[in-house]
Amino acid sequence: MTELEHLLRDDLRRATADLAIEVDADALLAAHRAATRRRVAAGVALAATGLALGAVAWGALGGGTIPGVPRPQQPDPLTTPSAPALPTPTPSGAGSASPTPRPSGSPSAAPTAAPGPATSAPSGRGVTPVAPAGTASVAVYFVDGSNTDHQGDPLLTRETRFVPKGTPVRGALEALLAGPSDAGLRGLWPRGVRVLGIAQAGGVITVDLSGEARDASVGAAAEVAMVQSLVWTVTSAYDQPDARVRLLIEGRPAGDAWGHMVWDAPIAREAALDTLTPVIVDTPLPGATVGSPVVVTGEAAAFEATLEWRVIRAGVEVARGTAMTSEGQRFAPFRFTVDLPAGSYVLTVAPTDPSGGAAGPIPTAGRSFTVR
Amino acid sequence: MARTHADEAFADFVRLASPSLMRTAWLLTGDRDSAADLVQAALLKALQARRRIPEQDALAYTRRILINENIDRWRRRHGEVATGAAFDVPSPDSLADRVADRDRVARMLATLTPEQRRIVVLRYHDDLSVAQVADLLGMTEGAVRASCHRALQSLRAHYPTPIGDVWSPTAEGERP
Repeated sequence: MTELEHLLRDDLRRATADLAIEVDADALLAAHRAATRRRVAAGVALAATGLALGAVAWGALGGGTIPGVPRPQQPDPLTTPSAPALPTPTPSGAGSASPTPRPSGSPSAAPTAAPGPATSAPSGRGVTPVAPAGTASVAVYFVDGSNTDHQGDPLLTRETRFVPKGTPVRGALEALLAGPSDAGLRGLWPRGVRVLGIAQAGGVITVDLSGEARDASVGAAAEVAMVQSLVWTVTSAYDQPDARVRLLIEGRPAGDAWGHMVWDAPIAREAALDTLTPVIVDTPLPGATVGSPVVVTGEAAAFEATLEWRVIRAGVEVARGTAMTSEGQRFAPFRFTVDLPAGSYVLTVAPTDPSGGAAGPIPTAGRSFTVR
Repeated sequence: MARTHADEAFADFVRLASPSLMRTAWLLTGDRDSAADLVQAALLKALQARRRIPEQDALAYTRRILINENIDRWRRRHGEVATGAAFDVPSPDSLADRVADRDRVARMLATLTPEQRRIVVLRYHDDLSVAQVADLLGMTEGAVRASCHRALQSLRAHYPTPIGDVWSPTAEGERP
């Protein structure tokens, strides 16, 4: 060591010598128990929606249910004559499973195009799979049933939905209000809400909903998630990530309709890192039948930009590997491919844990799909 | 609430590890409240993962969590559990001198970039090797050395140059 280094070390030692802290271990234990209870409660509620397969495969990896497993098809309670929101179809056929990079104009069905890593700034739309004729794919944001933030508060993830091409924003909004088709996700908006109007001018999007929107009763943290799910969904459907959203209910400002926050001025997206679940898988779509190699795309916020993925078949890991997002510590796109023989699989993707497992539950995205 | 054996072990760990974590946290943040908050957050995360942490590595793991937590701007800043209080231990020396000393060091560290600061704290306070720091921060050893070198260059201004010893930029950090 140089003399400078010695002086520095002495200084650091002296400056901290008298510093003490009294940590109340019991308070930490109580906080830990409370957080665990919240996670367990969320898991039970989801298990009740029924999905034994997901629970079994997932149990081996640390609890929760698998998002990405399609719920049995339910009639969409919110099909308005003007623009019904279609349930996520199970794609089949050569072109439908090939993702194309988002920025290009109309979706191309060329299955041979090997998309490079998406390098554009995240718009919240993800990588757009090829939409069936007459439809546009939109990203609809719901609560991720498997991951919470470290306080146990909800985080959002997104589901790709195909809506009538002429009215993608209305389609996305109605899909949001109707709830997720993926059993691993939760919708927070009350049932029966209708879209009365959507308008956009000068960076402000105005959404007018029917009075049923007032019926939401979800608690403070979930209320923030509920509001943000709408903001993220409509701003991404307009492809205007920076736009602000004003909510009207029956033509009047929503105000403090739900008791926790006031929404009387246009609001913007909250920061992605605070709002979204750390790993979002866009393709393969939930329950999709795809060719091999399987192209996996999505967006993740990973420390050091590294992700670990596993492919599980009938409860047995058949492949694993690592992938990089285009940038660490913020939301950035990722893409990798996996060669798989025909069969049904569950894929999990998780950020590499910088603490080597010490930093608590690792947020994981799951997705089931079939290789033909 | 009754404590289990595992809870008792954790309470012991908290007692033993907190002072060291607190010093590291203070050097990283320069103020006691932020440091105390950081220590509590790191301990809570360590608690959540306690079954996965080998007991003998618990301090190293928790320090790693603390560093990441400090880097981490993801966490929400509201609704935190107040579980600890930071304070000055009465010492035989004049408390005023100590506080002045601490202020000087805090100001000095504040002139570094966050990365340089982390490296300096881990190298010269926690006595980690270049390899250990590189591993902890996910950097190459070369990058740690370079950053450490730049940190020392800029800290030099805070120390009087001793007579007869001109610090050579190339020798820093490498001499035994």
